[in-house]
Amino acid sequence: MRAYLARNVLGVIALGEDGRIIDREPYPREPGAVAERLGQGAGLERLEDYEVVTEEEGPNPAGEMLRRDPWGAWGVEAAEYYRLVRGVAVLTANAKLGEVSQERDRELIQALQALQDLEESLNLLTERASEWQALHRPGGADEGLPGFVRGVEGLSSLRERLEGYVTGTMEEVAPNLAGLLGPLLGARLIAEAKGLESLARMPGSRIQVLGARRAIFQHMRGRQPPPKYGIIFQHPLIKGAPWWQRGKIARSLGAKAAIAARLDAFSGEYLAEGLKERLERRVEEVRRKYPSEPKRLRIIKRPKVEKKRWKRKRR
Amino acid sequence: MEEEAAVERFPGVYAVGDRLATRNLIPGVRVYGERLLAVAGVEYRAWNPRRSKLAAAILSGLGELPIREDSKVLYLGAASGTTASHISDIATRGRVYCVEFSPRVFPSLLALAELRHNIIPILADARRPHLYAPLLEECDLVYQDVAQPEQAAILLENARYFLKPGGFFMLAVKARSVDIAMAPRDVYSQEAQRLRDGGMEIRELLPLEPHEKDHAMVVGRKER
Ligand SMILES: C[S@@+](CC[C@H](N)C(=O)[O-])C[C@H]1O[C@@H](n2cnc3c(N)ncnc32)[C@H](O)[C@@H]1O
Repeated sequence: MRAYLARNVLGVIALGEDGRIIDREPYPREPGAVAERLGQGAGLERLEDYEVVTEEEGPNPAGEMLRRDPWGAWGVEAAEYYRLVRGVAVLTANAKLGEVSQERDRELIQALQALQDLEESLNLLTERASEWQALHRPGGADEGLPGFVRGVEGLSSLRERLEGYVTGTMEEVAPNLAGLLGPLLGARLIAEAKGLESLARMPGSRIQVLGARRAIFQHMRGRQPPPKYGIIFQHPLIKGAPWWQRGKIARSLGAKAAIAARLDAFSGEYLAEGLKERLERRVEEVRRKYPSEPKRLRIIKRPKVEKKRWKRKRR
Repeated sequence: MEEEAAVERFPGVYAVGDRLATRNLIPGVRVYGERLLAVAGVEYRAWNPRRSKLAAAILSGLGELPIREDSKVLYLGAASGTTASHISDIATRGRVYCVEFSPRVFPSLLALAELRHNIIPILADARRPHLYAPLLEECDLVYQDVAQPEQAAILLENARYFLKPGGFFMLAVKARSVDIAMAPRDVYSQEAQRLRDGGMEIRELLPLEPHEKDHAMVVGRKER
């Protein structure tokens, strides 16, 4: 005998071939719980002896009954029913969107790492090529060096294509970060944070030192002052500034990068141009206020307490 | 603002001056940069035929618009909700179930639904109706604009699950996404025939020129 099974946000219902209800189970009246139930199979225990027909193969009488009168069978008011439908729809959509964006992040990070690997290899190989070139005698059958050079050139054009891919993906996934920092540096921050969303949850002060892992550990061991910047040091406005201005610019850049990441992760609005302008104004201000190297160097003492604690832990 | 009259063309659809408009469900809020028009203390949203094929169809002489104040509408291919927002202005006490599968445009639809409580945003593939069936109820109208080659099959499948007997459908046919080589007119009648074969009655077949090139609106009903 057949049992027709169908469900909506209020619960699952089973009809016999005669159209009468064989079994039913209400769901908790809470969107999160309903979304979870709908994500699982629709099983009902009492149906073991039946050949169960769900709506996967097409509409069935149980589904038709639920759709004709979605809340009547459950003794629920229309307003409560629609509150649940909306809540479940929005929750499921957001969960799916989160998954999709995580997948995209992971792919971006892979591409970026492939790009970095390729750059390292290219450095080595180019060096090798020029060393070889220096003692190469032209003429004769040229199997060795020319073939090698062609290979290196091929890798170099692969590098360009990969860079184009990372740039294109960044402009789509994180246009504000790409606009503010440049697509490659933006992608490195995302990679360092292991995803756009986790980057967007970091304060500017954390983003500022992201990637300065060694420096942070050294600081924790009490051997160094706290690091002022991590990979955002690659940004031309910091790299090109004299050392005593860098920390201040890095702080401003970290704060703007945090805003950009939040825009990209949660809003989608494009405001990078305004952020860039504010950053440039701050750089101007720093240049004006701190034009020359400070005279007195602050001597930073090792924080003794911290050092002791460290040693104790190691024993 | 100058005072013009709002003339009702269909229930909930007005002509304000030479503009088509719907009464704004959320006064003061624009959805896609459309103009807001005030007439006798009531706010309307201008409905742009270049942005919405349903507006283009109305201006091209649509005979009947099967949407009432309390209609349940299933909208397949809602994108960011341009047209769906006007349907939500008309079916104020009804529901607009908006199915869209692109994660890129979906956040706009979520934002729209946050303000408009008659919109239910469903992130799903219209080709797999059983996956969103638990969120749906029986509908008075299936409106479809997915620009896909298998559009007739998608409409028939969704009508089978969700359209009530005698309920209406509106299908925006994009000739080029069905067959680039075929003349648009032939594409329209081929799609209409597919729908007839699937148990639909065809009531109108309306080319949308000059508002939309190579598009037509097919309107019909499910047999009782
Ligand atoms: C031409 S646009 C719709 C414009 C919209 N109807 C309006 O007037 O505001 C087509 C939309 O259908 C969506 N779409 C295409 N195939 C789909 C499918 N199988 N399921 C859900 N959505 C689909 C596309 O992502 C796109 O957003």
